[in-house]
Amino acid sequence: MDTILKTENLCKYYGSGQNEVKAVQNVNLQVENGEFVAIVGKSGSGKSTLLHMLGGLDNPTSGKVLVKNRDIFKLKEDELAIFRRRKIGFIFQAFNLVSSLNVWENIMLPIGLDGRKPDEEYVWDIIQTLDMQDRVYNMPNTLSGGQQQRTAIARALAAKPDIILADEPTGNLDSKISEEVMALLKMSAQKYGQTLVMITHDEDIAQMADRIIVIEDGRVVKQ
Amino acid sequence: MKKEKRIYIAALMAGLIIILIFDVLLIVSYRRNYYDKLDIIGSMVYYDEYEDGVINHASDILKGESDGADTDGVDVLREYGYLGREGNVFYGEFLNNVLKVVIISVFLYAAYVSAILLLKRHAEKHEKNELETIEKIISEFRSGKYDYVFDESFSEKEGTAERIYMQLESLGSCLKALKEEARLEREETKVLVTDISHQLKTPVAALRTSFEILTSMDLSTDERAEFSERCRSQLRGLENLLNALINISRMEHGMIEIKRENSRIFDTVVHAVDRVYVKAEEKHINISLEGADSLKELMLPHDRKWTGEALINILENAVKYSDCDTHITIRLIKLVTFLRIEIEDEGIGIPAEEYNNIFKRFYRGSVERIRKEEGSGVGLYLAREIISRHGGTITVSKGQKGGSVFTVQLPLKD
Repeated sequence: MDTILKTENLCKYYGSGQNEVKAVQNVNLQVENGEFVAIVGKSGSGKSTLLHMLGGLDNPTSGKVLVKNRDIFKLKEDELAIFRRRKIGFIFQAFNLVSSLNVWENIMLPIGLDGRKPDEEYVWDIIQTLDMQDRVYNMPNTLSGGQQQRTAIARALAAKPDIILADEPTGNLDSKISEEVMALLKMSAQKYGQTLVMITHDEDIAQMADRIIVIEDGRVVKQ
Repeated sequence: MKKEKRIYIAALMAGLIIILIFDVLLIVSYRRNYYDKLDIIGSMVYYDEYEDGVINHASDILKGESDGADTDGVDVLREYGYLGREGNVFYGEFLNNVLKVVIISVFLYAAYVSAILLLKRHAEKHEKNELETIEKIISEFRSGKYDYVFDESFSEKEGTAERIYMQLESLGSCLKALKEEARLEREETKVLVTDISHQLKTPVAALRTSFEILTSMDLSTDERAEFSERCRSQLRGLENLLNALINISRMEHGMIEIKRENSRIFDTVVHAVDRVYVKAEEKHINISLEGADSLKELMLPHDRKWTGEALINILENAVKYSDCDTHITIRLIKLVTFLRIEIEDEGIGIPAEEYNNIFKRFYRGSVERIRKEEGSGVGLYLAREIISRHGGTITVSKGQKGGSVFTVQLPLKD
């Protein structure tokens, strides 16, 4: 298969000696292009640390993260920043919208940062898919949690990244809205041909994934 | 190409014009210099008539109080026949300087032209190299090697060539994915055939045994009736299995096309309930439908036949694995982008570890109760396939009274 994301003996340790905490230990995993993978684990199992390393937000203690066979930690700091902007879309539990910008501006922000010309038609299509067309000029604080997460999803999709990394994307939403937002995220990733890696502790939501990876104490216990 | 040529011609012309202007300025200044000299010499001759005139005039010139050209020196010199080519040595010098300027400018211009031409050739060669690289990549694609990875620099600037390489890379991965898909499809078919043969083996073997006993042995009427009944039940099982398999193989080979047409989803749900109603009635299972009245008229793009099939499969399971005198509740809830259909039963429930397995092809639960019931392990698999093809999702969770809740989400629009 066409592997888009791969880790080789990925480790992340904090502290040293007796206080050493092994957040992620020897993780080897592979994600195929277009796949939807859920990484499931309890809080403190190291799944967030793992996701951060997959997206180049955090440096590993040892091991590699390969995106399309390229070791991302061999990139220079500013190259890595551009790599993240172009190739990876992030969705966080806390939405992380910029409160002084409206919905449209929030969605366009990553594209603007990259100095690229936005494909407005594409962005509009995403906004319509996510049913946010009536709220593009709203400020984030006037939106419900579900709407804020829809905005964050639109922002992640708009820059046409290859991979979307979602960190507990529905952690702040009630269960019905969670399931709808997840279905939406899955549908959009499918529609726009993006690979989706999501971490969650919610088994109900993980069911929607093509594949579930279970992580316990920093190790992959089931693939 | 034409535009580039024009740029080169413009550069050549600009160079020529700049050099010419420079030359003219130089020559003009040389000429002035020459006439200044003549003027000074002429004025010397003029002031010679006064006492100390020459000395005073010379000191004036040196102090900058006079530029020495206040007299018509040239006229004086002309009078004495010192003007022109043969008249004085300075004219020759002036001509010499002009010649030098001309020669140097010709050389400079020649150097400039060759530099431009060199640049042009270099650019052409570079372009040719790029084209050759692209050609190589494309011919590799044709021979089935799609592994081209563009060594992207992740710098802020992004040229046209870079974008072409990026596009080529994604074309490569696209082709690769297509090829892989075709391969997987073949693989799937193989697995499917194996799976089907395997599924058919057990009931056929059982049927044959019952049949052999029935024909070869001396049996009492009661025994005969029992084996006949077994044969019948095996045949019924086979029939069910065959129907399910036909559906699967149709689904997997794209023979089933999901045709999403805008129609009332409520009707589809009611129709599905009708199909399981008799079986539910036998067990005194009550099926109730909850939802806002407005949902009765809700139009939703879906394939009526296959969506119905998916719902029937879920409902049949609910009836099959529930005890008598229980309830099945269907709830319709309109969300922002999806319609949520919840089907909750009060049956035996599904352990959480099995949630991910129940939607797999030919998977059947490990509990004895499930083994006892007739079933082929394809119903939920098919349901998931159908719902996925609608762009929807299907999940299972624990019900309030210990049973299961199957949640189907269908997008409200295309």
